[in-house]
Amino acid sequence: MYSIVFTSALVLILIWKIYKLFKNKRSSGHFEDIDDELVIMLNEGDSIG
Amino acid sequence: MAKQAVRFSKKKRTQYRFQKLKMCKKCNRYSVLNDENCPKCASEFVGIESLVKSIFKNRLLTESIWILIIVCMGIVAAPTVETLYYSLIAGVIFVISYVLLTSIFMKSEYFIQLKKLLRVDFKKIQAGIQFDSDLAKEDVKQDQLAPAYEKLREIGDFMDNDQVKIRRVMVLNEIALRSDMELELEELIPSSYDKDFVKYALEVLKINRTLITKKCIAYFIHYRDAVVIDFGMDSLISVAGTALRMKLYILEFSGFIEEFLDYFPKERLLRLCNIVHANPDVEWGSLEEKTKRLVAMKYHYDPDFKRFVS
Ligand SMILES: [Zn+2]
Repeated sequence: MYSIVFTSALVLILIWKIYKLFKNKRSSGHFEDIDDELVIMLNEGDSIG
Repeated sequence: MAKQAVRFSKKKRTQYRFQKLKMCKKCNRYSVLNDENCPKCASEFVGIESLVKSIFKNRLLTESIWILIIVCMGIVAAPTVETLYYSLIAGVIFVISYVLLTSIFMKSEYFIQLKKLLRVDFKKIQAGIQFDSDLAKEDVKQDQLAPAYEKLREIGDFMDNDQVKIRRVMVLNEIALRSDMELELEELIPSSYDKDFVKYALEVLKINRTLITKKCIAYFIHYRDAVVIDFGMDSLISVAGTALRMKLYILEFSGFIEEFLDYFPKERLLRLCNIVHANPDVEWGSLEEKTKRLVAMKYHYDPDFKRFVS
């Protein structure tokens, strides 16, 4: 009984981890997009000059 | 006032812009400049990539501590020796799978971490660039034009506004430009008419015609009236002359070139004739006619134009 509970706990943690990893994998993109986003953010309502 | 003779350091290039971001951990301030050390506290800057990596490592460390606690608790709480061994083996398999999974997804995890950091620290990055910009202002005040320009050049990679562009142009106008300098022009075109920019562009035209691109010629045509008022007709004639650099430009700006045809020096007209003559299949429109007429009128005796006069 104890082994089943312990194993289930570990498997649940792994499933949760896999879910997070896949979620991040899906929302990751190209580094060019990061560049573009950064420049757009910096230039929106900018006051630097 | 005499222009300053300076030498610019070579611009550092990175594959992505964000790679130029660095941080002074002591001042908690970002910078985009080339300096290796913080000008305020002299401690070494940490590049954004190392920053993300260290955050990532810390996260992994915290996760592994939690995992170890869970596995150890499982082992300690085991009621029998058999379950204890079982928990140990299960724990080891679990840790190995966890590590494997994390390493397989390393790239996307790094990406997400970087994106998160840039979003969270966005205000700080902005403040850091403002600080860099103030340093450049200070340099200008102290007549240190080369370091001022180098700073503004780096800031210009991130800030795409007229203010930064014009500040760069104003510094460049105080410097004696040379053809061996790594100059920029198209990147500095402002969104409206600016006298300083035109002055700089005309200076660049004298030393490196190849920098006068399509966008730049279009700018001169768009603001031609203001250019003529501030810099005279000759400036427009020179710009029209640079449009003869490429067949493509001649076609694009044929109307503009045609207007100033009569004023071109012989060498420019010869170039136009050569290009038109070498491309008989191209539809040159009235430009071809007008060029032929001009050559027949003005240069019919000139041996250089002999092959164009029929
Ligand atoms: Zn510092």
